[in-house]
Amino acid sequence: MQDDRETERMRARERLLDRYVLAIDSGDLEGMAAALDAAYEASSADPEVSHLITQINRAYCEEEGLTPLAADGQLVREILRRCVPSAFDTHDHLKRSLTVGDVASRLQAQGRVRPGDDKTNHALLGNTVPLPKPLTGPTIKKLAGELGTGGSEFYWRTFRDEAITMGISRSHDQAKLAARARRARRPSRQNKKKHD
Amino acid sequence: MSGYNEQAAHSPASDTQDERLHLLGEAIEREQQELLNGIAFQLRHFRLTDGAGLEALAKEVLQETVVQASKIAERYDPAGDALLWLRAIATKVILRRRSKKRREQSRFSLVGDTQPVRRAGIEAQSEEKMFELLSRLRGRATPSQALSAEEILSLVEGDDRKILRLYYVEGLYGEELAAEFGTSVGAVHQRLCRARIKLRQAYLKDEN
Repeated sequence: MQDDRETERMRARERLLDRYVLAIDSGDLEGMAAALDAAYEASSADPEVSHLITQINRAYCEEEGLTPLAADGQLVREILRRCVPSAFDTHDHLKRSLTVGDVASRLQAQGRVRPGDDKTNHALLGNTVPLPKPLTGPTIKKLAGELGTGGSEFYWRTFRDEAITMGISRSHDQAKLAARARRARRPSRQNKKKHD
Repeated sequence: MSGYNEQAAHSPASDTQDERLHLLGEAIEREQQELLNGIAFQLRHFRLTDGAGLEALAKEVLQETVVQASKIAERYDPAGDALLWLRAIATKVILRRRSKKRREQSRFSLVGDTQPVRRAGIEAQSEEKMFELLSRLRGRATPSQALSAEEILSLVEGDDRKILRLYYVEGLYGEELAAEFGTSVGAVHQRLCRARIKLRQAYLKDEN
């Protein structure tokens, strides 16, 4: 069963590579594009396809007597910065603790501040005091007293609820960022193969 | 205002899109060298430029590829290989440039490009069965099976037969196969593909 699957996978790979080489050798650029589309589709199940196409491409470059070109890294980075800004998002805001000002901003943006509490909330915008840990009724009450900005009991209850929600979201984003950093540190399968 | 941004960043749809763009950006940075050399090869091989303007044109196509990739980033599936996805986009960028060049050339010539579009017509059933048989034998053929394989391989000659035998009968692959021919892994796979294409053609000819 395992052998059959492996044979099938090898055959699919061979067919793709043959199609790719045949398209290049017969001067069929459309066929080459179609073969690459098919190879990309297959690559999630068979990562070896990309590695082999890279190797075959290098053989073609040698055959053509092409000297490897050096990419202009700076230029590509600038295009990426313009077209794919999120590729350069440092997520610095995730590295610092949530502050009173963060919660006040969120409450204002969501229109959750009652008219009687708007002065309190306004005074807290931009406040850099970190949120207390844990976020319990007593710690929030203590914080309100220390800040001395007033505010109704309802306001501070809403403040605490929002602070907890933001804390959960922040932990989730931090975990994603850490996973992304781990992936970036891990050598790609392709690079790993190159060094094997 | 930061509240709005954070809120947007927390919606699942924007999370996925953001993650995809980030991975794509990383892949472009990581693979730009390989991509550029692949583009240069295509430009030379498909005669889109002479030697002198090759580097400048290859860099132009690379930039256009990055811009195009960012425009259609939502179609990128991170489960697939990013370099292959980028290679396919680069090839389409080159195709568009070639069509444009041909349109411009046809304005000055009444005789259009009559070169037929060749297709990779390698989907025939019967020879597919032959390859299936060879694949099943790979590296574990009994003496009688190896003999049948030899019979099939006798349709091609010289190095083509040798490489197919080493691959299908002896089960050699990658570095081992390259060492037999004293060449690179890429060159040996290129040679293997060409030998298979020849065997397929010879088999079809033999059948007719």
